[in-house]
Amino acid sequence: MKVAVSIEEGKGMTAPVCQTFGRAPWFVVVDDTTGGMTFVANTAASGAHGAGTGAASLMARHGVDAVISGRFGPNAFEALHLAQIRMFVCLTDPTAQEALEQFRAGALQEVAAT
Amino acid sequence: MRIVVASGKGGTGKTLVSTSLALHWARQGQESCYIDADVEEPNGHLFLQPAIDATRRFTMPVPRLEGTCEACGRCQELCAFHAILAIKGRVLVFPELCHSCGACVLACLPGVLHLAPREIGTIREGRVGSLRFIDGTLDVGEARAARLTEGVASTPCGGRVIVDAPPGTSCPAVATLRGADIAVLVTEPTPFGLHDLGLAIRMCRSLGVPPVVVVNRSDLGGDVEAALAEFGAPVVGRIPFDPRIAVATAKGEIAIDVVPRFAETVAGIALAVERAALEARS
Repeated sequence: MKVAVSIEEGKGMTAPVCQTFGRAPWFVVVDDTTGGMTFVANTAASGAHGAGTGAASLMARHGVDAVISGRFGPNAFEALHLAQIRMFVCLTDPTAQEALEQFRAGALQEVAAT
Repeated sequence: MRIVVASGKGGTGKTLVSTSLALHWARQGQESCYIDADVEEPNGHLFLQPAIDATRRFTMPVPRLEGTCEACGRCQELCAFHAILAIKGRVLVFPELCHSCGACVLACLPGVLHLAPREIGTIREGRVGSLRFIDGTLDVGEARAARLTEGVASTPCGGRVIVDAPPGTSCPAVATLRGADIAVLVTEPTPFGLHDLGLAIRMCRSLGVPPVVVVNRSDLGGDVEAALAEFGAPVVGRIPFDPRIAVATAKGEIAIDVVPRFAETVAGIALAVERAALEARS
């Protein structure tokens, strides 16, 4: 399973979680089966429009199964839903590592279609 | 002759100047048309109170899937605005992000993407005496203002066309300047006014439209002559502050009808604008 976390800096697992999904500057993609870790620059973040859908397609390209962020916009939500990527909300400001631990412990709330 | 009344900063007096010029020329017997192209906040109608004789919905083409998609992803790769996604065998269009370029339709190998009209606003046409009136209103929640701005500004009309542009220097303002003979930039003698005037002058020059300047509330604020001279755009008029203009505007009245001194100022601006436009043509 591949889990992505939206983060402020593409440096390491101590980077703080970025509270916006579409405009997050970086994502870290962690592969639970291989233990691999990839830092992905969010190329969609700087566009005037369409950051949410752009970031969602980026996640799909990286084969992500679940993504952790603070907020998901309506377009990002629809796009991630289409891509069958699960969304988890982390509203505190922990590091990427702490957010992942909370996720694994089942402490993060999933955003579900209404 | 196409005259676009624009500004960098908002609230400098575009509508005051454009409605006044339009009425002035129409009353002189010139075939004239006032176009309110500020589709996010059209307000010329409040002053001109036109008799509307035609209203039509404005559409822009957006892609629609008709048939079985192979999810090759070419549409998604090409879309500069992330308005179409092809993920896991399914295609999703986000019409409100689409800029109607049509690239996705051209790129679609199975040919199942088609362009379909999507309504984004309303265009009205009418008259104020002998003056033709056109304006556009973007639907609430829509983001593609520039598209409707283009549609409103390009409504066919002859004679002297006075376009009341949206403020700023972004896509909707740029859309109004296409095909203009001259841009009348309305500013005020404040740091904001002058800063944004500088941006507006650069916008006009990069689009090949000669700018001239009207300074509104010209006797308020600081000494701006040096700053104006630096821009190198001719000043075609100065409107001194007059509480009677403010009162008339607040009531939705036509200021040239109630403030004779202002009517004279407008006549002077009209003459200078005509002259500058003819000079620019030759």
